[in-house]
Amino acid sequence: MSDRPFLQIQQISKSFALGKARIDAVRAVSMTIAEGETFGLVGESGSGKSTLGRLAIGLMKPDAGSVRASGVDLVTASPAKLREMRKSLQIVFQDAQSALNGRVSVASNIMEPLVIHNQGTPSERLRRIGGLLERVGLTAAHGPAMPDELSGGQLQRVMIARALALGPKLLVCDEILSALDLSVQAQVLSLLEDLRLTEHLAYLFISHNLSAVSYLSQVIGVMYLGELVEWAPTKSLLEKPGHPYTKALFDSILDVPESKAARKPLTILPGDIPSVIDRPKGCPFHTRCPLTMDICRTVPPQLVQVGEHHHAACHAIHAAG
Amino acid sequence: MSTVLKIEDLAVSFPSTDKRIFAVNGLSLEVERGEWLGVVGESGSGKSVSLLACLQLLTGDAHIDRGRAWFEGKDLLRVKRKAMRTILGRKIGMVFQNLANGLDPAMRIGAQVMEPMLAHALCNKPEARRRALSLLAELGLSDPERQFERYPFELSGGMRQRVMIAVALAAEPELLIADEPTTALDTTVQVQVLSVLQAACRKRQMTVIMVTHDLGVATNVCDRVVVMYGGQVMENAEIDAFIQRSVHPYTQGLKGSMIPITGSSGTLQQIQGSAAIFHQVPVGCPFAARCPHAFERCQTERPKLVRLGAEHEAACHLVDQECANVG
Repeated sequence: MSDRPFLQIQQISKSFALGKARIDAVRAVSMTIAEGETFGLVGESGSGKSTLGRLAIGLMKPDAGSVRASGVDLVTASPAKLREMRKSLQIVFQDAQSALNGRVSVASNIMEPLVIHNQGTPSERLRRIGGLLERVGLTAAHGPAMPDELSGGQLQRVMIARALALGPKLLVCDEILSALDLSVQAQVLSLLEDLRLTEHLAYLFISHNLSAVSYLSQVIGVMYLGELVEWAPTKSLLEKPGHPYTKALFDSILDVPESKAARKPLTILPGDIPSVIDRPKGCPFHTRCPLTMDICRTVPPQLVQVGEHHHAACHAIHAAG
Repeated sequence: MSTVLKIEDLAVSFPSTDKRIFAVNGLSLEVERGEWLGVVGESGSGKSVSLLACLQLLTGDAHIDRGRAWFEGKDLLRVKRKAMRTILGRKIGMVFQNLANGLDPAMRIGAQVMEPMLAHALCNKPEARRRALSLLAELGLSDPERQFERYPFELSGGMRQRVMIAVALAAEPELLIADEPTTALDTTVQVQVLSVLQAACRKRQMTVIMVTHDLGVATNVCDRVVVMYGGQVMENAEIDAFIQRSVHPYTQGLKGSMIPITGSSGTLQQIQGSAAIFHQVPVGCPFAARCPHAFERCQTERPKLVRLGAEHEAACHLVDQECANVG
């Protein structure tokens, strides 16, 4: 694994209008993804993961901040430059069924990016599609099939093949496992890891499935109400979660216990996630945090380094450290 | 212990565009009073269809080909629709995954929780209101008085799911059928919902059948697990036997597909392919096509459930053979 940064995000924010109110979907997030690295992004629904994923590859422009891929600023890039960059920045969505064109064959779906970007002759494209289908664990025989003839797992593989068509450097995977069965999830995860190692692909892997994220990622970022509250190498995050929210999140995973007697009590994070419309002042997590102090209610904590490559935004850690 | 629900040899099929789909193919299972039974398997394994069939809630052209579902001395599959109304919601409560189907979007929360009590004439309105409020509080909804007047869209997913549970429990049913009750929820909310559900059911000594594809959920709350594939029981085991001594290749495949929280990628044990759709009743073992251990007999003969312990049985020729060799 190289440590050369591929994607650098600096202080990006994005808000949306909701009636008369504005909601901050992403607030001042900074992060880096190295070449060939998987950055896992976790957090509850509504925490801004998908918005951040779209901002990361220039599908959406941030209100403030910068996004640089291979040194190119996606925010200020011309449409032509952005289109050029699109080859190396791809995304796979959760719902493959609706993301693929159901009226044309699997092969035509995969061919589309090659046509748009004028890659190769028609016969070269066909060969490339055959290669891509095999690369994702399907066969050339799946090419003529229509999307509705394939299973959910196969459709997700087609989506991955289409995203790979232009030889990307970074793939944003937005909840691509959610609709899949356990056995198929395992197959897709193995495929992603294999692609990373052979194609030197980097991922922004967005999921609320914490096990999948920790299996796949070298680095994990934790989002809460649009803010990146912690960001660390996977091992460090699992062993020494700094932010109380990260701890609560990973405590809530239900592992298979060794026996009925060895079951852990169901640990509950008190309360519900606050509404983004009525965002708490100070630290966004203070309404549910077991460590809340006075300062948490008024001053937003900054993301600071708490260990090697380990960053967290929490007053309690800063006070203790 | 007494049996609350006993399903015998249930078979259900559907017409589809060209061929029939055989979703449930001779399912037998029972649940004992006070027990929390988990029914696990991949989508398409027939989990939900079989339970919906027992409740006469299958819609469209689904056809119950054969079987019995005994509940309080009655065969639910043959109970008249009108009589079914005195059972559903009253004797058997239901919680579904799909929140949109479970709650009426145009009805206030309070009215929905009161409805089962009033519909089954269990009490008058002020009493129903009092009970509904205490139920909402018991299920961990803060400020129940305020929630009472709200509409479902004003609530978060986790809150709505707890309201669904309140509706299901309102008429104090004996049996609760929960179909993937926490699947759509975030992990922190899932634990919250499971915890209140568990406490409420224990307090009422209710019997629970929970359909789930999540082995983490099943092994943390259930007393016994039934593993289904191809509309049949593959393995049926008391929870410790399920965790420690499961033998069916399908069960092992499901367990192997669980992603461990390790923080380093190892190899995942995968089951090849995905859950099959059966256009004819499987002759042999339904899992044979995906099973790494399948041999000739698996294609031709349906394996019977073999008893492996007091509360452990599995339907697999491999297991059957080993037992024969040992015995």
